[in-house]
Amino acid sequence: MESQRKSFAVNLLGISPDPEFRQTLLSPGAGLRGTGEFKPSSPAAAITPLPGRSTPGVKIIRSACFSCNTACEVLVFVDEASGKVLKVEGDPESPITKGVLCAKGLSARDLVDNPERLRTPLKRVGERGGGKWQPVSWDAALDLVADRLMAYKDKYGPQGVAFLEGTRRGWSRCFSRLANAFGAVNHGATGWAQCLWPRLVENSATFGAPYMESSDCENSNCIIAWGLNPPATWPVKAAEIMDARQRGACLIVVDPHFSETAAKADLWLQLRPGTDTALGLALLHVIIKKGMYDTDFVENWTVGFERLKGHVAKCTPDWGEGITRVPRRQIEKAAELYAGANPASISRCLAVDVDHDSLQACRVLSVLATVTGNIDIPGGNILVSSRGETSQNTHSFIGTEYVSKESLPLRRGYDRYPFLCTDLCPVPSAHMPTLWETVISEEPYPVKAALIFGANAAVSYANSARVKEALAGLEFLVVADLFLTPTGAMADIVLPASSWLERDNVISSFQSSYTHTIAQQKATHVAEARSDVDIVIDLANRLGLGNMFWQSETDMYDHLLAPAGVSLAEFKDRKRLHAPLEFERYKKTGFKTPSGKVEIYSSVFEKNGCAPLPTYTEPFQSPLKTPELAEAYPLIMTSGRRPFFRHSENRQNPLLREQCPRSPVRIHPQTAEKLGIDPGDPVIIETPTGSARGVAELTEGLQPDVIQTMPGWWGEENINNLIPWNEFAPGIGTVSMHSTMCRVNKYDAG
Amino acid sequence: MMPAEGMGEATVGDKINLVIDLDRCWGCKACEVACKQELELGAGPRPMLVEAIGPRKIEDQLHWDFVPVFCQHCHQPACRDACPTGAIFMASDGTVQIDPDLCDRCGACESACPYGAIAHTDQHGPVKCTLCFSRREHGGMPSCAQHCIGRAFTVASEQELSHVTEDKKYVWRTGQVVYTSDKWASLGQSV
Repeated sequence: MESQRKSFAVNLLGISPDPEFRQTLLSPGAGLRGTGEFKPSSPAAAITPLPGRSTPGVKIIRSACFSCNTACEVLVFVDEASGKVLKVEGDPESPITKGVLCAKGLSARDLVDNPERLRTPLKRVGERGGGKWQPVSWDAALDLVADRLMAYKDKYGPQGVAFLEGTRRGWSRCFSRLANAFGAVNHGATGWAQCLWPRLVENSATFGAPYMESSDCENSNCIIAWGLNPPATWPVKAAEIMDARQRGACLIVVDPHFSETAAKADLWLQLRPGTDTALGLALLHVIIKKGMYDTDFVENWTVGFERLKGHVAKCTPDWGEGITRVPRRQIEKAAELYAGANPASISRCLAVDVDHDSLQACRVLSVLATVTGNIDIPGGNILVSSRGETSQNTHSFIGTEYVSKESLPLRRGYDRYPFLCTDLCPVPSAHMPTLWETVISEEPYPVKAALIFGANAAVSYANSARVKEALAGLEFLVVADLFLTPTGAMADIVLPASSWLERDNVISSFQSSYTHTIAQQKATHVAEARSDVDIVIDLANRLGLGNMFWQSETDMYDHLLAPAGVSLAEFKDRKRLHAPLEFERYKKTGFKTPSGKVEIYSSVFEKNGCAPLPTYTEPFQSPLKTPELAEAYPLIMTSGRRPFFRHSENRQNPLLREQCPRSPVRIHPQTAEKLGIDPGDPVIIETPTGSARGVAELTEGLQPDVIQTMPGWWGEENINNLIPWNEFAPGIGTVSMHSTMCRVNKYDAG
Repeated sequence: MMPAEGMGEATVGDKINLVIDLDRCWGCKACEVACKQELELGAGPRPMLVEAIGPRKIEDQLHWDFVPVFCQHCHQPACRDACPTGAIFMASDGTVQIDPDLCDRCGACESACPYGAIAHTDQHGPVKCTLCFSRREHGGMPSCAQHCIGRAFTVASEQELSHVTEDKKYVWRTGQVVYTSDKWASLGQSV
């Protein structure tokens, strides 16, 4: 049956693409396509009405999925008699998604159905990690946690207790507030130095606001998807790009791998992993040399352009090709297309956050958008609207003032990573690798207890073996999660957290919508599971910190929504808050930087010991930088995601696991042939740090010395086993995740 | 899995087509999971299957394309002809449906389908795309069409079909499922 389908598909397409279809933009005379009139996307995108979808005995609850940070609006179908979730669908009336939903959201019922869900608080019995548990009441569990945390605080000081978080299954910074209220200088998250924070702190330094994170693809004539594969990770952005592309917008994709997005691109720039900054500098060189920058914007609204001119003079396309491997002509063409289209936008994502020079890679893209005048205009990179409610992403919400100034230098990483550990960061936090090493060495002081909410630390941090060693050395560990993860398995107390289907939430993020704040509504409940916010408020009371919190979850959301003039109940009824986009607001307010302008030359970077103009350095590990390492470990490992999992989640879901049963390792056919590896063969990847297993997939969409792996697999398939933490990105302490030298061999199970 | 009430009352003019713009398919598999949810299937049978073709090099250019393959609701259904109990019939909306009460689960339809689009389940016997007739009855779209992240699917009546496909260079159909593309000439131009 499967082979019939394959041969049908193969025969349907044939082997002769129409020569006129998206002819390569490098051919002579080729320019921007389709500058003609706007044609609406397929009629399938039209909104279909909800009435009639409901059947007797079935309640439809409008909510927002949190299977990833996009938070697509959904309909949850619930059986009224049993309270069980029957299915989750996209909401066709959503102005944001127009009804689309990805595989994760569509199969989310598993989150409440799965027999492995944690149902009650558990207390360890017997040896740590021995797998023996005793169910206890919430009162017993939280009283014990509060007692022990206070005891460790008394004995070792607040720095002796680590407060660690992950995605927390929803948007709330309530846990951060608890950490600060407790005085925990060692508060942090798995991803902050590797995900979003580099972009946000860079935005603040360059623009004074996050102009770069929202790209108005809908109105853009040229879209650069830089290290972004939205069909796998960002459904709303994928739909937006597809519509823009059909309208005639040109799509340029920057990715070492021929991704699903690259396959739709007009121009695909296949760079060597970790060389984003060099590619950006070469693009700037071409744009400036050809005079394709926006003279008016540059003269009136920026500082440092003349210095930039001198700085990129040497960054010729030839220089760029030598470093990035992107052919000179493609660099020139991409620069012409991006600077020539008006307006044009850059969508950037995690790939630049995980570079060894994360802040510099982020900066070079911001400077590209700046010199081409694509800031805060329709079709460019824009600032989202405010819908009036209080943001949780503020220092006042997370209570930074609760941590005494004198104790801040105790925060691990404080002296080295100002963009992560001080007020320059949206959530000032500890540098996690430094903290894990401190847990192990007890230098400069002991850290004996940890509270981990919504993070699978044993899997999701780089250098996993070291993290597991640290976890095993803790005297007291509390983990709140949906399932008994490898991290929970190491704990003393495990708290059952609720999934997004069991929660109310107020979701406001550029990843969801530029113009709407949306409601997540509790649709069901699972045994004794509770939301992180609910647990945090309860625990705060038991720790004697209740006066710094709200009475309840509802009370907190009421408080946050008050400035918008609605209560949580009214908001859920209205479903969303809306504010239209505004453009060129800087003309009234200036930019909130020290100079009041966009800082191409960043005074904030200069003051904090970082290169003030975007500057390229070679990755920590590469064939050029570490040739002796490359001799034994000749392949460059990068990673990418698929539409079925976020982070280490969803591996328990049979419908998703069916799509991707094992950790895939993409290898170029030439390399595979040399190594005697066939498609589907079990393989083992090795670095001096560790090893990880996987299953080979062959693709010509990689350079022969690059492999692509996938993060998030538990146990021996975890690629974080491979990633070292000897060096970190200046200023913020990023672990370089996408440029690790490795070797691959067929794995012999015998 | 029962045929919807009233299905037989539709007129020829109400024939439904599902048009798939292959140039818009990302290969994300949302449609596969949407389909399973609608038909209440677990891991295993896949009435909808997105075939990935490539990445492959054609004249130095890499291509990676995706084709959602499922019941074509053929105008001359081989499955119907093969069914010894007459369980497979063509509804008046143009779709091909299986009547579970008449089906004796012999498997003949599964072998006869040239597209491999009929999945076998121990629990339900043969399972295939129904074009979500119960959803349509309630004013909804087929689940695959609604949820598609590339918005590659368009629902069209027989009258709307030429309008929906007029901008596309290449069109292929053998039933109520219509594939379109500006890229792949081998689809031809048969509507």
